[in-house]
Amino acid sequence: MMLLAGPGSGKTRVLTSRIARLFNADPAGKWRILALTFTTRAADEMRHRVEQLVPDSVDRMFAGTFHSFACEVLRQSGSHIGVQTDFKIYSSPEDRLLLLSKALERANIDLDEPLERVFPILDGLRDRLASPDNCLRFFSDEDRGMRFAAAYEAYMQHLQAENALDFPAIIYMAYRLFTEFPAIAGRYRRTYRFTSLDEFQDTNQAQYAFVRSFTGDEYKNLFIVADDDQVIYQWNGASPQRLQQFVADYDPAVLQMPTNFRCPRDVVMMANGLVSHNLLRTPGKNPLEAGKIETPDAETVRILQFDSEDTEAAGIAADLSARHQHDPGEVAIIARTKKLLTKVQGELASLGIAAQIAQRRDSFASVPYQWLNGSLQVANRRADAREFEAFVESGNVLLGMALDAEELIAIALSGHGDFLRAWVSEAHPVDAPAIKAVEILRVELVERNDFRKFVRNLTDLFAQAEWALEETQPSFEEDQRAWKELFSDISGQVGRQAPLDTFLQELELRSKEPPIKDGVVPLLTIHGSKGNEFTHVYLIGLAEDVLPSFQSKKAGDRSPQMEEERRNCFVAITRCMSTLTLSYAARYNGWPKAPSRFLQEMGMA
Amino acid sequence: MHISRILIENFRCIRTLDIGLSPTSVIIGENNAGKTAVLDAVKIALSRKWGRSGRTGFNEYDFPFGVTPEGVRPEIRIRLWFTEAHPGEWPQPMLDDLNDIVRTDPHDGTSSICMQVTCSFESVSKSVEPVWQFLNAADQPFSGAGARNQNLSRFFDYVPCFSMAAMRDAGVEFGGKSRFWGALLKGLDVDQEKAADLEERFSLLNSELLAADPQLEAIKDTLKGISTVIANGAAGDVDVRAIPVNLWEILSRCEVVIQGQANDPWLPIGKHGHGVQSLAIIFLFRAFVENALGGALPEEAQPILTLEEPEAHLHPQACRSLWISVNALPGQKLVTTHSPFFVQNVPFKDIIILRRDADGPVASALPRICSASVPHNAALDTAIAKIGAAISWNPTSGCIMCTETISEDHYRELLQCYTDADRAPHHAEIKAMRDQSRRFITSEEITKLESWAKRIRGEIFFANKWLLCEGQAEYAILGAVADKLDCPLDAHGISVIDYQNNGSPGAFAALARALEYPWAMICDGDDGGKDHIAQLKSHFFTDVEIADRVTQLADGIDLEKLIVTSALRPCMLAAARELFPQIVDSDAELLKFAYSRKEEIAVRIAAHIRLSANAADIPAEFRALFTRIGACA
Repeated sequence: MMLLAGPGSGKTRVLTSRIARLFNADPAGKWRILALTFTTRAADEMRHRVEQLVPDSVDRMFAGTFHSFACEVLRQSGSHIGVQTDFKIYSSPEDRLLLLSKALERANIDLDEPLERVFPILDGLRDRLASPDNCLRFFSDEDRGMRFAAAYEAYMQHLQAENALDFPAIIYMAYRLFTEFPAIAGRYRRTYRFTSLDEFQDTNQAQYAFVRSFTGDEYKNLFIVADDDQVIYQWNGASPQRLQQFVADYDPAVLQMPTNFRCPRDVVMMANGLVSHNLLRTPGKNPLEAGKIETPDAETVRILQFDSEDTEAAGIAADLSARHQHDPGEVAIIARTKKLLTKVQGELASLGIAAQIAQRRDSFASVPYQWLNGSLQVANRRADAREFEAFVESGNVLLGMALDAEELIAIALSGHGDFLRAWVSEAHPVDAPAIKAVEILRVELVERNDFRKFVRNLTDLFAQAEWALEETQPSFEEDQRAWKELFSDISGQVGRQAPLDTFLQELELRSKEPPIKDGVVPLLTIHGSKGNEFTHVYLIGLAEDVLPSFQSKKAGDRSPQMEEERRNCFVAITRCMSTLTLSYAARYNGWPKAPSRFLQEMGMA
Repeated sequence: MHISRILIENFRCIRTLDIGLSPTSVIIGENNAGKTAVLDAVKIALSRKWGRSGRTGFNEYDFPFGVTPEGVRPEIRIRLWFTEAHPGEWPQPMLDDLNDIVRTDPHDGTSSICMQVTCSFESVSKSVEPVWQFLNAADQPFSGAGARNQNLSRFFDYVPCFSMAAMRDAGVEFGGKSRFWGALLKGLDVDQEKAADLEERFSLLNSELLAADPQLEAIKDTLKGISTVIANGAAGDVDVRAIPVNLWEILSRCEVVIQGQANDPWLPIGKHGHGVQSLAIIFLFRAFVENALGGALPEEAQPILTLEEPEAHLHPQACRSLWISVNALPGQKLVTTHSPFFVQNVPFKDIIILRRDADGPVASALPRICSASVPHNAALDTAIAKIGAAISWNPTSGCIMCTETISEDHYRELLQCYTDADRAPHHAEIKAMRDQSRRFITSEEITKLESWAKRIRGEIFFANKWLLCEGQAEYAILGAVADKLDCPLDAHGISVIDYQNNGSPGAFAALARALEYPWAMICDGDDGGKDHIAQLKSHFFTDVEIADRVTQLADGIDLEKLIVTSALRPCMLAAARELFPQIVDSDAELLKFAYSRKEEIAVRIAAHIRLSANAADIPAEFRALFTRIGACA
């Protein structure tokens, strides 16, 4: 079944109600439901809602991202393609670079190109599910292709030797498992009797192929929720055509939910006007209908004009301050790029309004939480020299010591081989809280291996006033909030009994950015705003070369890139519940820019 | 699902023991061979009640002592494999429920589960630290969802383990506090109203009973003094009860009475003999298991039952029929026994023989499969397709699997799949598989052995060594010869098998090889003897093995001729005279007579050997036979 659901139409509610209904119809059954989402946050949200509806059956649902489901499958059955059950995930660019350079060194390959430029190619090959021995067709220069094929092969072999995976490898390997061994896919199909896919329009080629390999040709219990007007991940391989491909592959019943219960009528009209200019849409798709009951004559949409991006940022800050002094948390400022948001953040700060730019973080920002994370990593892999070095370094800074990782490794290797034990035997800090921290690590991780208790005791110690970490450690408070939420969400996802390695795998998959505090204005890119709603929305930078972007204009007025920019605008304006404020400036970066064509398409010019 | 394989390491007397199990497996072996250790390993592995505190089933004495010079106690490891015989055997709801711990064979699609228990001994705290885990297809402990603790209790619901120990005292087992009877009684559900009504009636009955003699009332008054002494405030009361008025107390006194035959008195179970008591407990066990399965367990649950010596105290006839009762129990049965009568009805394939060797218990059973680890190639596919169902390629393990004896032609075809320069190790693998496959006994032959050998086969499994001889005459004489050579058969656990009456020499020798019984054989120097040796060859015994195991009498010599030309001749003469006093004392006449009354005279010869022969009189051929199986120098 394919549900075409516009923004604000209540699709999450439909998804969760359907899941609850399926469980209610067979409460004693043991079969499961697979609910794939695009973000971990959406999965957590879905789990909470289903838990409220059918608390006894929530364990029968796997709600998670493509990556977390693929990880679960690999943990369980990956051994058939050489993935060990306790593999590690490397997500940060630095880790991946290091892995790649080691891999090339081991295989004695010289690519003669900067390594940072190699990754987009290796990732792209895996997103296209091309194996190392079958990837030459993607290269115009055959010699270069051969070099990259060898590098690709070496990188994958090195990952296996390190018992590690990176993000693109997770989907790629799970896809290989299902296609090389259909019996394995068949077994998951039988247990996961129903599958739902949220935000299907953002699915890229690899993810879709993974779904295909999971379902095979017979399985049709797929329920997808999609909106081809909200495809904004084209750069990542998403495509409006994916919906048409889905229709061809599964022959689904199509349902439409065009009624928008979120936005004011004017905004709905603007959204319809905007996307009617796109050609690559599902044929027969209904325009949005306004379903919200509103007070008449309320001013819902405004346009603000400025001279430059600087006066725009200042003006928006002043406007927000004037109109929403008492409810800054109800407001979101959205822009196409982060650059504009940084300026607004500065202006808001000068008016005393707190704002936070939402952005994925691959690692923790403060030393205490880097050390906490490092402790867990080393506890999980007690002879991993690289993790250990990072752990020793952050420990030296946090606890005021000067230990040498190499010496400690030598001590460990001469005896028990346990790096963490060697560290504890040599760690003798001076300050009282630091002594306590070492003691907690010794008791809970070295002697008992109870990582939950370690985390609990250590975060309690972090929070104590005598250590004053909040004052002395930059970003400490942010990490503290981030950790709290991560710990609780991951426990919900993998269970409170889950072992440390599973916990860490899930931690690697998730962003370490802190949740936004009450009363803080979120500053979002359009991509970051997706799936959210706010009472008041400011969309800034509505000028040619900004939104639509310079690149899309270069590609052409009728290009898919331009259509994606239009959908970006569509997504941004449909985030608002009460008011929408649009703004543009006459000059950006000193260059005169015309107002965005989308203003006209929305009937605002 | 049932346990298809168990691996036990460093548990009590066991160093390493790896055995395949059938839905019913019967384990035999001498005392101290490790039978109970195997059952206990299963019991402990399957009866973990989750939680860190409390009894785990292991104790200090389960660890082997003095294995390493440093005195470190090695870790105990128990692994149980549960494997589908074919895809779809296990019910889908169970697979769904156990999804997190199920492994799927990527090639044949069968599901399996492997549970591991390891236990280490902390010598400082003298505590045992057991860990239960499920293993993935590579036999590594699962990470992720497969490592969650709740998997364990969920899994145990599908394989509840019940045990019946060897020592059974009906007086205890049928008491209100016993595991089986008590649990059954506690499970009785009496409607509340009905209970209140009954309790009231018991109370009335009590009063009526006590009022029957007024003397009791006087006693009661006297006893009231007790409560006046102990009471601080208002005095309590004292009563006398002939029967309990509380329903549970009544129920817990329920007893089973059995009437042996129609006119016998009804006697409580504890007043019957041990045999009846023992039998009653087996049936009670069955009732208990069936009752437990009907309770909170999922309907797909299949119990694992361990039964120690179910035959205890039973008459041979009852022992024989016991197999039927045991086989009728639900689920998988693991049985230990010391009874040849019980074993008599057990299919050969279900018998496991445990023996103690220098490194602890080792197991033997009829081989079912053998394999060769070789690289796959297209030629191999063709060869396998041509050979047929007995041979298959298993991509999961990268092995050729073989379930029947490989013929010479097929063996050559397999060899020809590997012709490159690196073929030597592959050819060696295939040859080893061929040799292994020769240990197989065909199912027709097993069927024949099972029916022919019914009379003796129970006994032979409890022997240490087998002596194969042609007929009953040899059987009689070898017993006496053994005594004279100072290696009495019973003391050495030697079973003499007269194969002519019970099957064929080839079949018994093959059985001895498969089950690893040391054996030796004696046969005549005539066409019959040659035929018997030919049979051994057709069972793939080599000339060297035959020379090593078989004593064939010189050409033209048979048992009688051997005796008549040996120092035992007087024994034969004496035996013949007992039957026919006028017999002429000549070799020709003696032989003629001996041939005509073969078994009869052999028994008498045996008696005379015991009575009057010297060890030096025993012919070298006989002596060689006992030397071959290591029974005498």
